[in-house]
Amino acid sequence: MAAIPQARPQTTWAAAVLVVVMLGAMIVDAERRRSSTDLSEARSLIHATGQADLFLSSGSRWLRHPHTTEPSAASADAPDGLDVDPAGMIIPGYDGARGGRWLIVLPRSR
Amino acid sequence: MSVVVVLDHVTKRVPDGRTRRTILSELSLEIAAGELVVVQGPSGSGKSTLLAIAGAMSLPTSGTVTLTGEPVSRLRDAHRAELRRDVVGFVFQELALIGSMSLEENLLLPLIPTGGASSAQKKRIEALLKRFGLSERARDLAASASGGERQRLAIARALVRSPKLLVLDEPTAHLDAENTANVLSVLTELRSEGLAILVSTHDARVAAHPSIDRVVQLRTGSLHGS
Amino acid sequence: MKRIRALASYAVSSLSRRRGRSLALIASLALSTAMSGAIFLLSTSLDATADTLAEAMPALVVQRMVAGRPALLTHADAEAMRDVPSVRQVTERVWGYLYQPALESNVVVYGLDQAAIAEAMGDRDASLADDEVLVGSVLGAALGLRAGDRLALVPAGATPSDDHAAILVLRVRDLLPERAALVHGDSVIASPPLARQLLGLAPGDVVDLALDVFPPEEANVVAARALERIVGARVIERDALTRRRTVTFDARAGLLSATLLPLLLAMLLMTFDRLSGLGALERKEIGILKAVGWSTRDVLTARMLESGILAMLGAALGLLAAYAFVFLLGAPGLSDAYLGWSNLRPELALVPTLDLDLVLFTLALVTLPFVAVSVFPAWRAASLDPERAMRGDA
Repeated sequence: MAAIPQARPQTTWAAAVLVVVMLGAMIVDAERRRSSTDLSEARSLIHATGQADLFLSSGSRWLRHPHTTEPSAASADAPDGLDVDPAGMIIPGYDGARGGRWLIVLPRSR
Repeated sequence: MSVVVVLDHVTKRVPDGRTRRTILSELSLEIAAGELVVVQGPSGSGKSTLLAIAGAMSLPTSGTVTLTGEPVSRLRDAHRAELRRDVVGFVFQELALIGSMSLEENLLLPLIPTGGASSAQKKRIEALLKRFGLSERARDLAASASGGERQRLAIARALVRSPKLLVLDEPTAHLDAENTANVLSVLTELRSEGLAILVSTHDARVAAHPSIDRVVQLRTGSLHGS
Repeated sequence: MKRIRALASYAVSSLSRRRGRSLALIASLALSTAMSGAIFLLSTSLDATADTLAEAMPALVVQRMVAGRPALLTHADAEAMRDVPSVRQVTERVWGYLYQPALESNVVVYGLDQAAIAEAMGDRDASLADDEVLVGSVLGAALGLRAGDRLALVPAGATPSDDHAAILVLRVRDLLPERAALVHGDSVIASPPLARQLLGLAPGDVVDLALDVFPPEEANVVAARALERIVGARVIERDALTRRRTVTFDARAGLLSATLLPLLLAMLLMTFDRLSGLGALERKEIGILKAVGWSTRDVLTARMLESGILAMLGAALGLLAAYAFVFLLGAPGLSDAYLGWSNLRPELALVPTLDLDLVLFTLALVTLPFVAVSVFPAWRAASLDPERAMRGDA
């Protein structure tokens, strides 16, 4: 007499279990990478040079430091602005009022 | 004998273009436990509609239907489905098997909404498979079963929940003589076990079987009893 | 619970019986999750790494502006800041950009005193001779340099073709650590005299002042003092630089994500269409379910479970693909678009920010809209009249 078998299909359930296992492995791998990443050398270097803006592309060179080789760079005028365009696109151009120190030259003489 | 299903002055009309067509007209019928009733009539006479209403699958336009004392038309969809599940076993003309499922998966279908098969129900299913000679093919797809096997499977599924009323719509329509005899033999057994059975057919052999208690004729939407 | 488990089991069975459609839906979900997930993982990883590195920066940097352009400071300006309360250290920085024709790129030259060199090299006794330099790992790799090699640099103001004698040939003392490539990949660290020579600065010229402030909350006050004491001062806060970087790269990530919007919309539409269009077999199957006693609610629940399972599988596969793409393969193509073009390009060793919370959040983010999109088609399917559905009239 045939016994009542397990509900089919085993293949789909097996695939689901495999996916869950792989997700777990991914989380473990991410944690392993995090804990094995030692940025202390890099931090010492940054502390020594005082520089931590990212070396990424000449296109975003003006991120390297607010005084840059590109006189019209956004950062030169409003690094604190929410809008990447210094003249403002959807949001008006920023005038340095919110927390930043981007004041235009103070009229003070020595 | 206790009455299982009562149809009282049931009328069914369906939309037909801009008008409505009357399929059943002021029809009344009672079936008691242990009674085997056959409804005979030509194609298109409304037999399937009558069975659908008796089996609480469909609601009448007017009149009342009572199943084991419960007035069906007053129930909400969910409760009607529950009643249908618990009280009625329906065998459809098209058999209504899911071909891409195995034989035992088809048997399990009515049990899924209530949480699957309990151990008692699993035993019942095994017993049904054995009774109807389907044990060896339990894991095969329903689409691969023969006509006779599929018919027996449809009856087995209708019995999974130990219903009080078994409704069969043209159960022998596509069967040869041997299989027809098998089906009638099963119905005879079930009748003697106390099931109320309603069968629709246009097959004279079925109507003439000695275990039939009553044959009623359905013509022009009304019943003419024997 | 038993009911849901039984319906879920049926849902899985139903999905596997419609293998083609299920796989197509999973694949499209996985693809869209993978693409948007890759951008997200890349940007959050860069943010996290950069934030960690930025903590080592000085709290304030003071420049001078003349006619709106950066100008040089003097030693006297540094002295003016030394007695400001909360200023622990004032570093007179000598650094700048130096264009190298051979590379068609800028290198960044730093002049560090002995203490800073020791800190940079992690060796208390380290120092650099006036003809020695430390070279960033990316620059070193681009030129094939190793410790002990010679490096020729064209100092500011010199034209190699006119005056070969102006070219400085320097000894590479060592390469800077690869882990610092994100910040110092293109750096050249030298002694202050050599740095001045390379940058064309006179003795006594200071490019800017790095202020070490304690407690950090006093930064505002110190900045105000700098503005008072140094003519034309401009004070740059560390947080402002960090915010700038975040805004810029968030904007880039946003732009990249926006390019995916048509794909996501198309996928949602396709899903809706796929789930709405019940084939004859599907309608019949629903009719059968209702005929054997399933209520509308049962059918609806089963259909929603089908959608949920599809969505979770698709989202999970997409997330796995995104992770592998970014952290195992280095996000080829995508990292170029996200980080921008440059002649010198670092090999990014980014640290994943992914954890269980983020995984669950991503799964929910994909699953919920997908299930929501499937509600209406599922309800329509569940409401079919069983008799008509089986006969094919519905």
